[in-house]
Amino acid sequence: MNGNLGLPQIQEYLCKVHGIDPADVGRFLYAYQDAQAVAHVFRVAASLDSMVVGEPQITGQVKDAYARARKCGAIGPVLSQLFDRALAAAKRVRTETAVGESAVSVSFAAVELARKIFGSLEDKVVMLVGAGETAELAARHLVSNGVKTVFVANRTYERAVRLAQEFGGSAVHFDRLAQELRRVDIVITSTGAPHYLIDPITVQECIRVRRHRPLFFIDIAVPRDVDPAVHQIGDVYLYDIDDLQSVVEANLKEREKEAEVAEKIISEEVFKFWGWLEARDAVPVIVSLRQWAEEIRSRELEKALQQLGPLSERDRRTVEILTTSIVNKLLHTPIVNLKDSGEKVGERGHYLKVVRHLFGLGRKEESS
Amino acid sequence: MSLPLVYYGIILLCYLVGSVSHWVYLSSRRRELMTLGMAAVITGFGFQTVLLAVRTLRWGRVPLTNFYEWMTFFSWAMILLYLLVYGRYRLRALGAFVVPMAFLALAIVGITPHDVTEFFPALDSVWLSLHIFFSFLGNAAFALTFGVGIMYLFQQGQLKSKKLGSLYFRLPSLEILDQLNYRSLMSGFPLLTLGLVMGSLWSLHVKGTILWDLARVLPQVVSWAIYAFLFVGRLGMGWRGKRAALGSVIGFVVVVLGYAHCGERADGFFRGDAGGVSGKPAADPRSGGRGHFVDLQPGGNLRSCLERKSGTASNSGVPV
Repeated sequence: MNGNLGLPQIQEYLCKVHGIDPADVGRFLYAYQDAQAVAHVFRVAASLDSMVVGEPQITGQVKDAYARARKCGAIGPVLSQLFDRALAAAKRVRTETAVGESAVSVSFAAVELARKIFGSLEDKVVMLVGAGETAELAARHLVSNGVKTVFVANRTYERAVRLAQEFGGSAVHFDRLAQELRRVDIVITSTGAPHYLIDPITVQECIRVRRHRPLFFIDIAVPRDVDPAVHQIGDVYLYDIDDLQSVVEANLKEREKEAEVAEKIISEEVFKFWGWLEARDAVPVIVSLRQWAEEIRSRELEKALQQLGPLSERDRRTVEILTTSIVNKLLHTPIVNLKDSGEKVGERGHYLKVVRHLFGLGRKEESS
Repeated sequence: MSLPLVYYGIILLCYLVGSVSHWVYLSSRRRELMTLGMAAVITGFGFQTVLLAVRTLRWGRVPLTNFYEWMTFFSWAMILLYLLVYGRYRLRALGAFVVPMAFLALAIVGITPHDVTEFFPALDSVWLSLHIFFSFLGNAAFALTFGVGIMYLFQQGQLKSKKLGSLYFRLPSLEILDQLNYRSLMSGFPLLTLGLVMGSLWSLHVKGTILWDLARVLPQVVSWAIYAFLFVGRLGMGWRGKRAALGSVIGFVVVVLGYAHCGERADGFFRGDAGGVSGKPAADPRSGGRGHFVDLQPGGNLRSCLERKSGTASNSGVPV
């Protein structure tokens, strides 16, 4: 690369658009070149460069940015190929590894547990007891994962009605909690009650009536709303906020493991892309190498023919064939090697540079 | 080496590769391993299907006449059910339990000293063939129930202990496992019952009594009773979840122990050693002095089967 990548200009532009002082922003910026830049695009698109690896939103953002740049006409053939391949690699990572599979937030972890217990959530009934940000979020995730029926119970009935409307569910009177337990599958509690709202005896009776269909409690309240002893009852699962937190931690570890596999996939894809890029660069070099040789050949042939004087047609052709075959034989191996992609990223790029330099190929183009 | 023996080796190898890949998949989740595992299982299954089809066509009846054939059929049926469930549920983890069982069923033939060319003429009976056919088909369904039950217990154990290992991610939901347990129990139990009825009919016809050999009949009756208990429990009393899973695991262990126990006796019996029990042992001079039980069409049947035997005996190794 020719040193000036226009980095200061880009930085200046970004600061101007967003109204930031360049001095503040400088230490957060970094720049990559060549193969490193390509690898970075691939890693970002596959969400391996994120704080939480494997977040699918990142791939979406890369996709959006690419679409916008294309609309503005800022995408040339190389960038187009780069982003197409990076997004394809991201897809490969998503399908071939479990890097984006496990939940990394408390509310998603609750949904994931519900899916492991109930399978499909389509016909399941959720009851939200009390209101809190995480609890509401968990309920929202459950609804977006197929749950159709939501009951809401709250100390203040009006609040329950309001929240129920949001979920398209129905409000339940707080003092009927024990009875309502019988017809729900998932209970999310997050009240400010100082004591347990749900005790083992109630749940035991409830599970008997339900004929041992599983019951899942998600207790987000601190202090707890559900007596921990409830978890000891067969077919009852109680996860409190601490449990969910440790599930999230376990999932993060699982993601890290999967990320190692993903990195391998990414380096494969980067290597393939780099091969494509260099093959693209190799063509003009090979063409100008041939041109250069041909020019010398025809010039020298002309000179020699003048010195030799009149020749028979047959002799003239013999000399021509002689020069042509010398040139072809000399160039054969170098050209074959330039067409080959080499073993490492950047290897062929290096040879192309060397060939240009040794034969003075670039300079001639520039002067002409 | 004879062709059938080569087939046997290929199938065995396929199921071994399938078992190992399924197991490693459970702990590592490498997709290529799963592809390899499925390819191996399908190849083995293909060879086994051809083997069974050729035997059926050549002999004109279901190949269920000796220990080797029973086990071949049993492992074939297990793989068939696994592939069917896989097609419906994409339940890869199930293979980690079913494929090794299919492998073991086949391998057991190789390590026990059974003459695979041996043909038990007593088994050339429609009733007895059907008895074995339905029993093994039912037991293949129970093998599936067993695998699903183990998976359920694993998954539930993880959810209850709140320690979610990598198996938690590989295993399906409790609901799906319970549903599969229900379905395989509902299909296995009628098959086993049908098998038992056929066996009893044969027994009544030939021996004049059902309880002609208590030690042999008892394990079958006990395993039938366990599954009947489970069947009624699930259907009538709404049993599900852990209880159903545990029941199916115990039931299958009893079945395997029962067969291990009576397998030897059955072998001896069908050779004619148990001739003194009761019934009408038909000692045929052409069978080399060994008594054989014959029923339904004594003369013609025995002759035809002996002819078949002499026809295949010249091929060393496993007859096709």
